[in-house]
Amino acid sequence: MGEEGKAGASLSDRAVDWLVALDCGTADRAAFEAWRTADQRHAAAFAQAAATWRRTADPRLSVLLDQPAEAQPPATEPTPPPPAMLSRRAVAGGALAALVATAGAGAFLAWPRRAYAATAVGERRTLILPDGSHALLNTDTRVGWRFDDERDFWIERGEATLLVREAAKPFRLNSDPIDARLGAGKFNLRLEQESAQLLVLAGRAAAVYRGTLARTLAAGNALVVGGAGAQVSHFSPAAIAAATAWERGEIVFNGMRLDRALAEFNRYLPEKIVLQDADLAPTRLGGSFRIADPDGFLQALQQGFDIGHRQQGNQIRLFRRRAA
Amino acid sequence: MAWLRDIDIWFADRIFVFSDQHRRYAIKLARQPEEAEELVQEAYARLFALDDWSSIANPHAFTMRIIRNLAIERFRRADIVRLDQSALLRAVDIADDDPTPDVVAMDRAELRQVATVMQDMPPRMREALYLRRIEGLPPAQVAERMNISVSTVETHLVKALRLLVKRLDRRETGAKAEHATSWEKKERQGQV
Repeated sequence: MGEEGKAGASLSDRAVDWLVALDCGTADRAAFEAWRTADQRHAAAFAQAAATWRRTADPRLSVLLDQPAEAQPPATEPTPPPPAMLSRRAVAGGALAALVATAGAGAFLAWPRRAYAATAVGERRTLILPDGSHALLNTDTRVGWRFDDERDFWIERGEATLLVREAAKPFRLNSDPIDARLGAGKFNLRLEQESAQLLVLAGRAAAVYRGTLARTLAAGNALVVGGAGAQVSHFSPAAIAAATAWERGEIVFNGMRLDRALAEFNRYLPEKIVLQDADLAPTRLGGSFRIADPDGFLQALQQGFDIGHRQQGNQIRLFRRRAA
Repeated sequence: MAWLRDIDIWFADRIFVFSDQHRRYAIKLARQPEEAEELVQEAYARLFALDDWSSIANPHAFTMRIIRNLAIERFRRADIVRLDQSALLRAVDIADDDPTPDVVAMDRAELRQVATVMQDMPPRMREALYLRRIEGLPPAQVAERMNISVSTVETHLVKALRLLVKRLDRRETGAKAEHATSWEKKERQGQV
């Protein structure tokens, strides 16, 4: 490790050298122990390095690292090709491959086959993709990707936020029912049983609904697919904050009906909350709650709306509390 | 991680989590950041000279008192360093019998600091740190994923941790000054 040759380096730097060498299994253990016991300042410097090192493994970091404010802003916002190029047939036929500039390629790691990742109910996870783009997966989500001549990313179920890095190779997001070609920026795709929505948080996307409706979306716009077909909606800052609250481990209700709010919360809960008294459903809720703290949510219901709860089997049932 | 001793874990759990307060207190006493840092480092080093460290009920309060005593020592050699006399003369009521929790989780502000420093890192450095620490891959697998050698991974990690140690030490100490800690409240109550 050559620590003797680093006489000029600070004590803290030397402690870091030792720690990483130990972590990577390249340190001479006896030499390390000799260094550490030679001086209490060495021991203290090492313990501080180790304490900082431990902080880097905090599981909460994986969520924070994708915060929009901290995300690397795309250097430029390349305009995606006109939507006309993005017919489903063209995507399926690989015709887009012909459009890919090969110059400057080769910086990508080879991913010969599609790779997959998934989260369980209640889990969140950040993936670093081979090009340095990030994918943050929400609860109960399955995704796949293949990065070779192009950057292909599939969302099979659930919800993910993509932080797409600028690159010569196009980034394609594939799902049923929305496909999109993404520029550098930040995008959120959420799939549900009967609906889907692609929200552009930064950058631009050319989005296609079932190969028919093609739209270019700018930041703040979403392609929303529901029972009534597909349409482009503009999201207010409050709506964007609510749609991305999960990235911070939060869930935000802006005057949402209780039945819808429960559906939101239940996405994260192995044990679902259900309404025992159906007439509670129209109750409007506001406020933000920790996803990891359903008890806090239940307590707020009790205190704010006099809605009680009890465990029954693997369900939590809500009922209207009667005045005694 | 056999290279972590019990005292290292004790230090991380019960003292390092309060390092912001130690620095802020040292700056109050010494006024100059370099001298304050010396006080903190000297105090930490003294902890590692203790045989009975595990029997200290409140390691944080204990550390604060060491910092103060070191400052008083320096004050007595007044022409060597400049210390704030008024801060020194203020009675410090440290509740030694009020034990700190065994483990204080990193709070949200500190977590954000770590995230910010990581976000600012060059991408390859961050990727190495991310894969090793958050994804928990062994160094050899990190090397494979990044298509680099293990020794390059090691270099990335060394630079990453050096950066973290430096940036986190120098973070804005005033950031948390708004909400007084219980320790400071005790100090104030002692004044009234």
